[in-house]
Amino acid sequence: MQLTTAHTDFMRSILEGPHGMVLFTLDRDYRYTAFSVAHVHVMKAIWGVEITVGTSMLEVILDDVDRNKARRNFDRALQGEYFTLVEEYGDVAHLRSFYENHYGPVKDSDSHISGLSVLVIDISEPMRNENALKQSEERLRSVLNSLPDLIFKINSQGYYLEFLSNIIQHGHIRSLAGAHVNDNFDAAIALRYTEAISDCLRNKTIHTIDYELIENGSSRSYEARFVPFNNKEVLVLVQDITVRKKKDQELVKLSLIAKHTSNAVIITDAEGKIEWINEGFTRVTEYTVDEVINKKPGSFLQGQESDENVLAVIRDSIRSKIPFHVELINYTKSGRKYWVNINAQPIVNEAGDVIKFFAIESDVTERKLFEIKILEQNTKLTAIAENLTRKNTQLEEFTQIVSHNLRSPIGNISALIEHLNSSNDESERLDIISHLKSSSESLMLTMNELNEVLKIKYAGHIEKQIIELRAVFEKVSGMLQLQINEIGAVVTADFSRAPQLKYPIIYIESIVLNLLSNALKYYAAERKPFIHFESWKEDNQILMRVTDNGLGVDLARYGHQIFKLRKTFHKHPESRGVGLFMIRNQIEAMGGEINVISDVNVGTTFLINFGPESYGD
Amino acid sequence: MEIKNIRIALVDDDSSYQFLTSRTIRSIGNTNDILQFYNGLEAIQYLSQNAHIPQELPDLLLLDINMPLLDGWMFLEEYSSIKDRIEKEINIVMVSSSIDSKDIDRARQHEDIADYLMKPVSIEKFKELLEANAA
Repeated sequence: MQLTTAHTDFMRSILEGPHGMVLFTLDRDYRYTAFSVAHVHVMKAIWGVEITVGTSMLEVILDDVDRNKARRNFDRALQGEYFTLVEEYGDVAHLRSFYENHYGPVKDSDSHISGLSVLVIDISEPMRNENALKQSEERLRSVLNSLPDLIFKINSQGYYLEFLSNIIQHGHIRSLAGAHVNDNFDAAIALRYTEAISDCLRNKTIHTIDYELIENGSSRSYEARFVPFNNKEVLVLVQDITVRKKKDQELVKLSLIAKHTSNAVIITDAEGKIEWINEGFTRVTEYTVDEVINKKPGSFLQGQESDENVLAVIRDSIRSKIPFHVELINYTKSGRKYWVNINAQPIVNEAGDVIKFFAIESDVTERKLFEIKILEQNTKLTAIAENLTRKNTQLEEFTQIVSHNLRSPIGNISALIEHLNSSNDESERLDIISHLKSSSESLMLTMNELNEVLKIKYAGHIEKQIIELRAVFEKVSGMLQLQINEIGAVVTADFSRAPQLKYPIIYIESIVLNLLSNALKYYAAERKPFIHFESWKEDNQILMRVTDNGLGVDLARYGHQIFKLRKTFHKHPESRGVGLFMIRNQIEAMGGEINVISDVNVGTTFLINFGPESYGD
Repeated sequence: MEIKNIRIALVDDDSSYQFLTSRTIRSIGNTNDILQFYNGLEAIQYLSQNAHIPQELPDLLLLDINMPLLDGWMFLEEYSSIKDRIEKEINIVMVSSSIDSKDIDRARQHEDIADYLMKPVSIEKFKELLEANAA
């Protein structure tokens, strides 16, 4: 065919036009012989090259793989083949683009192949769209497959038209499309299907039915939803609701129990806000549903006497989403106090997350009060037992004293009388008589002491008064003033922390007198005697301390004897060992105790706890 | 040894008892000086000071329980610690008006106590005691 001017003009317009068509020709050495404007732009954009006639195209393609691919294609065209390929090109920095390339040889007037031509159509955009469509189709398919639904289309006559998703096979599909509901179900269910279809189409609304099918011996429940698709067709979505139905039935059972139990039942959300209460709750607390919904039970059920520690346990358990079982004081709407036993459990969903709390609460006021009473009784009994033990010990001591301190002088007296009878010596007789006298005096003395002790022990209700300790101290110091002056003792007192004492006056006077006189008696000659009285309060009891810097007592040796009768530890003419014994009895009779700390040649401290009820108000 | 030569120590705070006992012992025939101590402290101090002088030490020691300063039991504690120094074998007899079985059992089991006598001690009993020690 001869190239006419028209052809040339046409060609030129193609090559030079702004139409975007990419077209180029190469000679047998792969050098550009002609190219369209668009191709120039493309090569600039992709390879960053300004092409000219004579540029080797292969040298322009920088990517090895692409270059080799191009060369192969060029050679094919140069062989005389016309062909089309969809290829991917582009350098790595750019998006890879897709092209539909049309290759062909260029023949000269003699039909010799002088080169090749390539027409490039960029199909990147359509390719992307196609991919996007493929992806969305896949997504839709996976969504459909994950639904436990069977979805199919059925027509107004009951014929299955199409299955869109078919996870559930058994029971619903005995044969495929073209079948009729009567083929797949028994008469009853088939009837319900056809009714639902016609209702759905007529009213143009969604219809739902549920039914049961027996498969492999077990029964399963299904819910079928009929959605009008068009005038003649219905989309049916079937879901296996066996599990859900079971749960629902259980819930109904539970709610029946919850409804009828006299205990309070609460269901809250995961944070503890009330979602549901039963009638029992209202009966116990007097609050109605409206008054409590969305509130936390703790915000209105607890009050002043509700134990803070227990409340903390509840709060922490809810926060940690663990069960708890506690007892505490609650208040009804009208303010009545009652003891409640709360047993709460978290409820989890299938994923294991806590979604609610379920609590049963019972009024255990009666039992609780009973428990408290028992505890009180127990404490009282323990105190009584301790008291009795102490009294018992005292009694044993007492009998020992009686046996020894009485038997000795009595034994002596009778022996002395025998000797008196057998003696002829006048001076000896006088001796014996003098011993008789002292023995009987000793006996008398013992009798009196024991009497005093008995008076203390069996005093019964001895009268207590509010005593000013300062006044007693002044009185006793006055009585012993002579002795104080004689030895130059410094006797001081500080009753500021507990100025008063509720006590029998004769006892406290005896105690202060004995302790002061003791301290004065056993002073250390080599230093100035300091004696100090102090009183203070601890837990509703009054305590008193008497400190001196005198001879002290070897407690390791004598500690166990210090308060016993007639025990002396010093070679002192006036040591008779009666005072401490007496005051100990007095102190213990009033429910208190006396203790001593001492270091030999350093000093002694007596510590008295006057006992409960010694704190006068 | 004749009973008149036995040295006896009386450890008791009761002066009437001391008087009665020494008179009784003399009437039995013992003429030696009777050592008299009015509490455990005096007694132990004497023994300690005379530990190496046998003729000053007693052969027989009658020990009361209830005494001031050092009672009978405390005396025995001190005694066991100086026992080895004492160059004489001393027979210790506990004499007490205590009828407490605790005391009696304790005395019976004590290695340093030879016997336990209950006050008042009869003359016959004293005779027995002295004759046993003379042998």
